Amino acid sequence: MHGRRRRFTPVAGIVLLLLLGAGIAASGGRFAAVRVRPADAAELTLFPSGAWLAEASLGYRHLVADFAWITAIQYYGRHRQADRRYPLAAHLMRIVTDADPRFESAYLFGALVLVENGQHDRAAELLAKGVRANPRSWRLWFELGFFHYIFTRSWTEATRALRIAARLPGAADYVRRLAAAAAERAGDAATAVRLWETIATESGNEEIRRIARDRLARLQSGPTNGGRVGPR
Amino acid sequence: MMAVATLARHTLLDALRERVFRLLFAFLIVLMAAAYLVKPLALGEGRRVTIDLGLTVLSLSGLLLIVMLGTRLLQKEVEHRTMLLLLARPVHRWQVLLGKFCGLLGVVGLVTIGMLAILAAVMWLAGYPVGSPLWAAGYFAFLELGILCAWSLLLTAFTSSALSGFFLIGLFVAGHLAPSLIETAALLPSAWARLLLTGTFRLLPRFDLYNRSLEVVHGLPAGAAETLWATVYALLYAAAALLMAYLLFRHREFS
Repeated sequence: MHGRRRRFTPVAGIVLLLLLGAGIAASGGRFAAVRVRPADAAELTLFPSGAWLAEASLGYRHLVADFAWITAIQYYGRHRQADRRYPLAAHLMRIVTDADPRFESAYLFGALVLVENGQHDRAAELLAKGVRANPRSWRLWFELGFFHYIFTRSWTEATRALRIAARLPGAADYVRRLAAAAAERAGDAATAVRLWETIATESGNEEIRRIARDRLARLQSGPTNGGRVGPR
Repeated sequence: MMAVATLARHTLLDALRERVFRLLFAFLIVLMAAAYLVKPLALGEGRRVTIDLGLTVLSLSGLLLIVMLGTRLLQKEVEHRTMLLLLARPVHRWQVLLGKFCGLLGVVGLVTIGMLAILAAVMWLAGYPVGSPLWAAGYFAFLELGILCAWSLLLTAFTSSALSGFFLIGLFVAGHLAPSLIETAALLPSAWARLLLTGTFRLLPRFDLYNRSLEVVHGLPAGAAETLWATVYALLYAAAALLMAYLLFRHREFS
């Protein structure tokens, strides 16, 4: 018995292991190549509503929101690498924001994904829900205004949202600038002048103050129509 | 090969004495509950939930069985000193390992067949179609559990039962998450980190490829090539694990 055991040396064992390793790598590659998975048509269909999940969470609704958020991110990542279509994004973001209405990133990220998916009305709904649940968030008001400024071209809506954003604590300088630009486009000269004046006096950046003064000069010298200017 | 067959038969009988088939009753209860309680909540997707739950519980029960039995196979022989008696006979150590592996595989095979039969019966009673995709999914699950059986022997060859169970569960989870490693590696800026993750991915068994619940839901049978490569891969992986177990086990001293 001992004689037989000596015949199988560690070197032979290692060589055999290496051969098996090569076989595993080759067969694993072939297996992965022939293993075609079907698309899951019912993907996330059974994911319940955020309100239901929040109730079922026994008080851990933030945990539920986190779980739904991670699921939403994975869903986005999976489809971003594949078909770049996100038909369930609105559903997922609704779940996250129902479970935690103060989840700002969900509104901001969700709106971007929905815009990418061509669902502008859904994006506007999500941002509107965000500002209703978080009226003191300048970021959400800014995003809503920016959304109207860029996508719906509704200058009045954009000006309204951006003006609110600009008034909220912590709002960045560029919010006022965009609010002023939106007001100009909306033809609301009085608001535009007021906002540019604030920027021209309060901005910490000399270049921005100079641009604001130029815009003010242009507005004040341009044709007016009862306090309104035409869209540029 | 007679020695291997005798050892396998004894391992199987020993496992049956441990009443492992109680697992089947637990499985039956879980499935019945899923079929009748979850069905009205699943908005017409009761079949899907039953299949998903059934195959997941099958896989997890198999893992539990291997953790409970497989990680104790060698330790028990050592603790009861029957290993000394065994090795005093004209039996090679590789035969001991192979016999134990075959016995454990037999137990896992019987449990898999039992659970598949229960799942098919529950589906049939609920009025859902039962076809070849379900049997294929069962076969793939068995192959996955076969790899785990071999790994349980490898782990027990150098560590305790408790740690073996812990590592085995870790291997199961890691094997199912293996593709995430490659996806993560692609996002990393460091070449070394990418190399580390890719290397780990190559070493881990691809358990994710053995999950066929989606195919069963969509009624897709397993292709011949798929079945062949799944079998070859599992055989080679199990052989490598058993060889490593033998290399560790062959010089082990028993007192």
